[in-house]
Amino acid sequence: MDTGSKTPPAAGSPPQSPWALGNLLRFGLTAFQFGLLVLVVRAFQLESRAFLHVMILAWGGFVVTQFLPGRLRMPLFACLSVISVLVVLDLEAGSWLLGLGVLMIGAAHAPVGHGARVALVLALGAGLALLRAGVAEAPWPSAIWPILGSMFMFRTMIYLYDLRHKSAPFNVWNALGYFFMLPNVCFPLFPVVDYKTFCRSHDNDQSWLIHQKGVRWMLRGAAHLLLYRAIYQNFVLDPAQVADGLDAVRVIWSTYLLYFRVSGAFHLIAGLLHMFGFNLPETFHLWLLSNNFTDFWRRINVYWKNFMQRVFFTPVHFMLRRRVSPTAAVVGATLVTFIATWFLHGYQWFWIRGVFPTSWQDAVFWSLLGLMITINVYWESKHGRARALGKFKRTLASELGIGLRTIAMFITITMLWSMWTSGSWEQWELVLGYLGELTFVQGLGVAGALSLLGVAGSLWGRSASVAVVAGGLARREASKPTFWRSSALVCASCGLLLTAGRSPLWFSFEPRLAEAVERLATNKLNAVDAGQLERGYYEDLTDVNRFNSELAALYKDRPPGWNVNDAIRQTPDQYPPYDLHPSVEVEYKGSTLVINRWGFRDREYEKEKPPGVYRIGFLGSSHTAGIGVENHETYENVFEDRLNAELATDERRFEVLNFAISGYGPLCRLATLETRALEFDLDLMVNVGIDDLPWITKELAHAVDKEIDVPYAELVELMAEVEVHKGLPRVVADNRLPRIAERALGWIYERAADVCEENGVATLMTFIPRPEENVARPEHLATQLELARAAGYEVVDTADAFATEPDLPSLWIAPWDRHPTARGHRMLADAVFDALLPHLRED
Amino acid sequence: MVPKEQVQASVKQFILSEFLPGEDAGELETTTPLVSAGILDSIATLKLVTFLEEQFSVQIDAHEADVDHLNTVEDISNLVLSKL
Repeated sequence: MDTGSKTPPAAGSPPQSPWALGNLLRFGLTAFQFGLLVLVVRAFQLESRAFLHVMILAWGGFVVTQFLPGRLRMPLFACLSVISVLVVLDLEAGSWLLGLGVLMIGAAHAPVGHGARVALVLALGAGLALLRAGVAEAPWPSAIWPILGSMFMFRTMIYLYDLRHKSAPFNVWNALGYFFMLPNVCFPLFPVVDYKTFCRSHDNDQSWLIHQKGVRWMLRGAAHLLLYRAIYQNFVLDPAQVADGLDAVRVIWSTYLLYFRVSGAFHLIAGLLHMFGFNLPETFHLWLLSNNFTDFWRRINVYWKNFMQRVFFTPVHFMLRRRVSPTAAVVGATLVTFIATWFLHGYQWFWIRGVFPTSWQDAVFWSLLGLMITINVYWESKHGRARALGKFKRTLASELGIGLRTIAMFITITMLWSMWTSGSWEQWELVLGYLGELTFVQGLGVAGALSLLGVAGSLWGRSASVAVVAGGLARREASKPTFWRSSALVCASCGLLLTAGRSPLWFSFEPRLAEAVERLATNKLNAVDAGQLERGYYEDLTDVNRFNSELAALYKDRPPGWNVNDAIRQTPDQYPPYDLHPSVEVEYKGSTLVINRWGFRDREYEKEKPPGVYRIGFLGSSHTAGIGVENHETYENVFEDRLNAELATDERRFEVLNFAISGYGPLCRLATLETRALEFDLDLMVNVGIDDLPWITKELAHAVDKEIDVPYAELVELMAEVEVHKGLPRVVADNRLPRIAERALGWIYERAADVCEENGVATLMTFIPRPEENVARPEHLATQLELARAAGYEVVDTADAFATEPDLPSLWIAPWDRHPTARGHRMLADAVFDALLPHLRED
Repeated sequence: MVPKEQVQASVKQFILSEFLPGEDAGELETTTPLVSAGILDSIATLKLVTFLEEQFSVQIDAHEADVDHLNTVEDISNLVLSKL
């Protein structure tokens, strides 16, 4: 393993002068490869737009650095790091972050004793933690917290440790470069780079060797991120949707494989740092091929392992070793290290999210992982582990052993990981329960995939578990690709990626392939997360799963209280279980909700219909209620205004009443129709659905979860068929209810149509679109249309309301909230007008 | 003062017998990387420290149990000699 130690320049290596022809050629080719990688980051929207800007800045800095004398390289890196903070954050937020950082660094160098310095830094940290926890309002923008935390929460500990032992040179440039380290400003999760390694590894080998390693690692990072995206878009499944054994395997494996996101980001970061001469250790080295727990610990995040070893494991062992036996000291130090890891994991999330996570999943995961590693450490301290100076002897038994251990480790760690990341015990239990339903053929497929992993483990997985030095090391060095071969490989790979990234051009002959490549090339939410984002507003899912980095990235910019609707009134003894306070005015999602005296988000109307008025009612959810736009901008009001402007006469005008309330699905709409809307003497009722089929599952599961009575005996009977009743865990209800969803929805539609007919109200159904692509709408829509028609509804088509808009995100009220803007509502109003016009003329 | 060669020989002997049983002594040179190549992991490092303290009657601090001081036989002997 390369830890960035000082190594002598390679024999026959070119001179270090940047102007030597050989070095100029190598530099030119490295700069070209770096440039290609910037284009790859741009083409595939890797990480964030901010990261692209930092990559461009880094590329410019890299070119300048090569022609600077060695003593000026660290100052330039420090300046670029500071500039990156100002580029990514705005001037105000960036200045605050830099100011607070300089204050922390200053405290670490205060002209007092070491103990007093530590106390000073702790006091500052505690003050910041109180502000982060929201005890008082900080004067700086909240956007800086995750980055400030990631720059200082661990590095300050290492810095003080090294400062105490004077184990590295200290000066202002080193400190600025170390703490504000490019590209940290783009990554709340950043490798815990060791200060001594940061200083010691700087330019400790031929520049072109370090740089070439950097571009290779960045390419590997990009590949890992694309692999992550492929898994995220195509493999991730909502645990509630598990239907057989293979689905269960898919859920268990995908939670672990999503870690490619961190692996990719860390490779990109370490590679970028290599471009500035930091010859840092490799991390996430073939982490899927770990074959025991200590091997896993050594591979997966070497920066964290080294940090814990220096700051916790070794000092604790030194304290214990004179008091207890050597084995007990090792075991004790390992346990302390894992307890500290657990605590620091929560500490890290505290700085990123502002809340210290306390979950049973964390407690069980870290306890079990700590226990397993302690047992492994104990075994190794008693029996040692395989090491060799020359070529390691391979036998069939040794290869088979490694392969089987790799498989066993993968199964164990994915089980542990799926438990750690599960939303609840019931959810994990549900998924595990389906494992027993693996068919023979599915089992063969799973065994085949595991066998491939085992073969890979025996072929390539030995390197981190078995140290091979001297002859072995020399062979390994000799087998590394030369600079020119490595450059050719990087250029070819980037060229291939950039070509493939232009999917519309190259894959237009095969739309599904083009679509798959496009999903890979864009940073979009997958169907599961898009669904969760959509559910978020009505089920108040503000607690985004801590492992869901995609949603977390969106939610971190969301203002506090975004989902709090003060107009909502809970009515647990009736159905719908909530409605709106009458005659109130509240701020919600950036707009003002004016609620009329009847408790609806609409203009004021008399209950009794005035003479000469044709009265239309709209049943719907938040999109129809117009969440995120002003009252006069909702499509229902725009439609009403247009009707009266274009169709009204002296004898006839129109009133359009909005009975829509956020979160109302088909069941709430039916209950509203029966209990409230019919009082208003309607001529026409328009029942507006969106994704009614999945929504009926959510409405019934919500009722089960909150122990609310479902008011229709027919639906209760249907639920009983799949053994769903009050008090059942939500995730189990979510999993079972889809089996009766179609029948439940068909019954609801039928009842709504019948009720209208019985009361002499004409009725229509329409399914309005959302301004987004990634919701699994087409399959639902076809079923919903069929069910609505079977129930006797005439369905009018508004599906193409947003069809002319190429940039759908421009119609969202915020990146984290996909309700339509006022422009989106005007488009919906036009579509509704066109769809209803024939019915209104006939009248 | 113990000669450097003697310290190196003693350290080599310990590493070979403890961590590399059956390996050719000639392959372990004084500049062979030990920590950075994974021969000395965290547990092996602590065992080596205990050996050095007992064998040469020196005291090694926690912050010295790292790659800077223990990466090669040469580094290890220098550390021991600096404390004698």
